[in-house]
Amino acid sequence: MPWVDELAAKLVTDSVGVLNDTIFISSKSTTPQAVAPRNRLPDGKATITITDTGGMRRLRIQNDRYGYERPSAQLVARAPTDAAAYALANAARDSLDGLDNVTIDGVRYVWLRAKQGPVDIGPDSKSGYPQYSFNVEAMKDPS
Amino acid sequence: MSLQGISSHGTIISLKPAVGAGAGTWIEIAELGDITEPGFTRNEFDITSHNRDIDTYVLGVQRRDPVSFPMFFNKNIQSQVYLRDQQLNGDPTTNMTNGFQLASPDGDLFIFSGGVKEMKGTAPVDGVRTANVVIRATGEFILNGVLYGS
Repeated sequence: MPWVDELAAKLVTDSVGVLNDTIFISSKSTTPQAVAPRNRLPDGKATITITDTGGMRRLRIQNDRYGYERPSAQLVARAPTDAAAYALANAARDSLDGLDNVTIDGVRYVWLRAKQGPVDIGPDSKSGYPQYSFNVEAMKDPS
Repeated sequence: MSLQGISSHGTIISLKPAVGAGAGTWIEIAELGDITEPGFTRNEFDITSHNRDIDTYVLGVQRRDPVSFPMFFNKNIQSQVYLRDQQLNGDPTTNMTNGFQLASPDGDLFIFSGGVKEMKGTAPVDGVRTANVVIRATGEFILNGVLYGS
C-alpha cells in the first residue's frame, strides 16, 4: 500500500477531513473543484491533496535487507478563501508533524515530520482557489 | 569472470554471553549500523643502526583495534539488552569477557573473546535513539576456523 494512504488515514483519524470527499490522494486525483463548477464558487469545499514525492533512499541496517523507508510527500490545501486554505493546511500539518515511535494504519513510524509550515503557492489552475502547501518526510517500516 | 568485491551489507555481529541471560548461545545483535571491523595491527620498532645503510624495522605482537558500531537502540530488542547487560553486570575480576562473532556476507568468520568497553547512548531532540558500542577483543581468536595468538 502506498505510504500516502497511511497519511490520509492519519488525517481522517484526526478529523482533518474525509477521504475522497475532502482528502484526495495522488496527483491524478480529481478534486471537487476540478469537476463540479458549483464547487468553484466561494461556498465550495476546502480540500487537500496528498502526493508522493519520492523521499530518500532507505536507511539500511545490517540485519535487515530493507531497513527503514525514508519517504516524503507534498500536501496541498485549497479553499474558497485564503484563511480557509491556510487553516486546512495548518490542521493537516498539526496532524502529521512531530510524531515519534507511532503506529499509523498498522505501520510503525520511527518519526514523521513536516519540513516547513504552510506555504502560499498561488491559486489553483482549475478553481482559482488559494492554495497552501507543505511537505512531510518520515522514517518508517516498509508498508 | 574474475572475482569481484562484495557489498558488506548483511554483516552480522553475534554475542555469546558468558554468564546471565542468554549465556552460552549465539545471539544476533539487531539494528546495527556501519561496523568498524577489528583492525589487525603490529607496533613497529626502528632498529636502524650505524652499521646499516637503510632503515630497518621489526614488528611486535599481533594487536587488534576495537570493534565499534552504532545501534538503533530500543529497550524492547532483547539482543541489545543482553549486550548492555554485559557492560553493566560484568565482573571485573573475570575480565568481563564474552564471546563475539563477526560474520561477513562472503563467509568470513571472526570469533573472539572480548568485553563491551563502551556503550554510549544518544537521544537527540529530533532524531533516533542510538547507542554507540565499542568492543575490546582480548586473547586468542579464531579466523575461519584457524586459531591465532596461541
